[in-house]
Amino acid sequence: MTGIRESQQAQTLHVQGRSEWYRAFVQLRKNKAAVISAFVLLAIILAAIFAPLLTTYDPTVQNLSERLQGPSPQHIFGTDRGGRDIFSRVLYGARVSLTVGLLAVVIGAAVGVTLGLASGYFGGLVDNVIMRVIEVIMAFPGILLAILIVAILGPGLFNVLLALSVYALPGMSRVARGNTLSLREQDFVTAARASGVPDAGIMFRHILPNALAPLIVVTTLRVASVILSASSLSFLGLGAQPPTPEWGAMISEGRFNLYEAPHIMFFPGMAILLTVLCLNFIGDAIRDAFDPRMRER
Amino acid sequence: MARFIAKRLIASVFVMIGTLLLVFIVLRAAPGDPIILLVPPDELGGSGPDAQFTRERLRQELGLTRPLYEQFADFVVKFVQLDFGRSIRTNQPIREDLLQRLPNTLELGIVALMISYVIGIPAGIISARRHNTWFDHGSMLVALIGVSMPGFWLGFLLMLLFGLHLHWLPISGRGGPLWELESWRHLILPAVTLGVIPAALVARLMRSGMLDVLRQDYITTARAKGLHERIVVYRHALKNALIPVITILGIQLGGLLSGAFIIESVFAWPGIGRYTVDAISGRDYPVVQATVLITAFAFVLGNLAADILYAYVDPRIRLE
Repeated sequence: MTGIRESQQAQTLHVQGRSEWYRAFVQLRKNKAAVISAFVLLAIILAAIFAPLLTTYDPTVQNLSERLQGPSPQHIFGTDRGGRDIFSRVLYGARVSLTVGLLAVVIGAAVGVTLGLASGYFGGLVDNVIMRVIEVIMAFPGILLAILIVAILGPGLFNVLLALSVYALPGMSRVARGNTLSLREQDFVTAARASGVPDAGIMFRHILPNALAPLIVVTTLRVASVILSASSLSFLGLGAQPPTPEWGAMISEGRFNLYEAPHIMFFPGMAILLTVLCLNFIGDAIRDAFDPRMRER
Repeated sequence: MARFIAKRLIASVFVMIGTLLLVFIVLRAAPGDPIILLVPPDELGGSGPDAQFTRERLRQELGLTRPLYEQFADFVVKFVQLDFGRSIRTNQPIREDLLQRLPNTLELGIVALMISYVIGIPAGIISARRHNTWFDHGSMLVALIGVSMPGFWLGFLLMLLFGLHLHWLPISGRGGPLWELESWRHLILPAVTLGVIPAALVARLMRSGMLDVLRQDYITTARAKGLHERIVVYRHALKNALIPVITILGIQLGGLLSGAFIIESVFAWPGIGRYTVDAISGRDYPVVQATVLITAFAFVLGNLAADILYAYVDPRIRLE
């Protein structure tokens, strides 16, 4: 009798476990803004990958006879001060921005989540030391620490990547820690520990999968803010160096001809806005989809 | 309450020491000789045979030959005494430069903060009251767009429209002392640009805070008593709905401070942000170090103030 009840319970638990993701997915699909954003983002990613096929002009070669032209059938986004095609540069720029955004967050997440898991799981001294370090990193508002790091190491995309990984780290580790704190008290963790699973196995195989949903949300939103921050660093002259096509650097270049050629800074700015907006829509939607309170609304 | 403040204060001091240590380590970990970062190039003695000698002397003078912990202690003491050294480019004491520019940044930041509340709070309240109407969806879309664009790009767009095309507002500089009308005209564009992102954050939080509170039992009770909806919203709900907005005061401060670094250079606003950006392009490391640390300290203290305010308005916090 109890055996049947238990197996039934186990079954419902199993279904609930699966349906949590399934329900979130169903919820997500109902969110029109998120679905549209996903398609737009996919289009941007494809445009970045296939940039050489979609453009007819080299993004870095100057053509001084065609400088500062407004949008036209030949150059749909116009040309910049060096006569370079802005459409080409925006498309190739997507490669830089998306790569930097993704890589910085992946590196930040790899380090941050590991630290957060360890911090929440072991507690005590380990937690104390890790959290104090995170607090110090967070004491630098916004991209200030990134500015400092790149200012010392010298400008360039690799150093920007490094600096923005540090920037992405605290948020990831705090979310990982918070979720670990509540998960480590649960029976399945105790069971795993009792059956002799090593600490690392519990952290990465048992706790991490259960903390994945909130981590996906922060990751998505972090990619958005890292792309914005990378463009700010480039704007300050710390990121990609000319003539590398990078959105922030292109806006920065456009300021010299703001009045007579506003399209130079307009289109790369729109590209940033569109990309980041899509990521924010998707991030918000995933969060809402996993939040039971939001389902009733 | 006193215990709560004391605990947070001690934690803040440790964080500030940590920031000093981090900046200290970053400089020492940088590739190459730290004196290249700390001494004007023409004082290094070039690359001649004397250069080695000069550099050795400078290393002695700057204490770079002493043990690291002594160097760090020295670094902390000097910082506490507000001795930030000299700028590499101008050879001026950095403290003087900072004192001159700090008020401008504060002025810009405070006005931007006010703008963010004046726009964000009403927008959030109205969105919550008209939940799921076109106003709600529209203002939330605008808010999301606001946090999704680079601040400097918005700055250029506003500059183009209101400065270059309509000629309503000046597009760069400070314009004069605080008490003159002209300086306020100069302030509008940078302050609005800087205030838009925090305004969007405030609106989003105000809305969700209000929606949460409006679903609670005491609001139902107030409505059941027959109170006017306006009184229910503004007298009963608003107080509690404002709590999340207060909690992000610290985060907002951070956004304003780091945003100022960029927006100030867009509008040539003579604050510490632009001072830093100029210093970065001039490889003027001592200036960057000083302004970054001061901004981090301001941020830590601002967070401390926000925490205390939070504990003051919400007793549940200080009991933990």
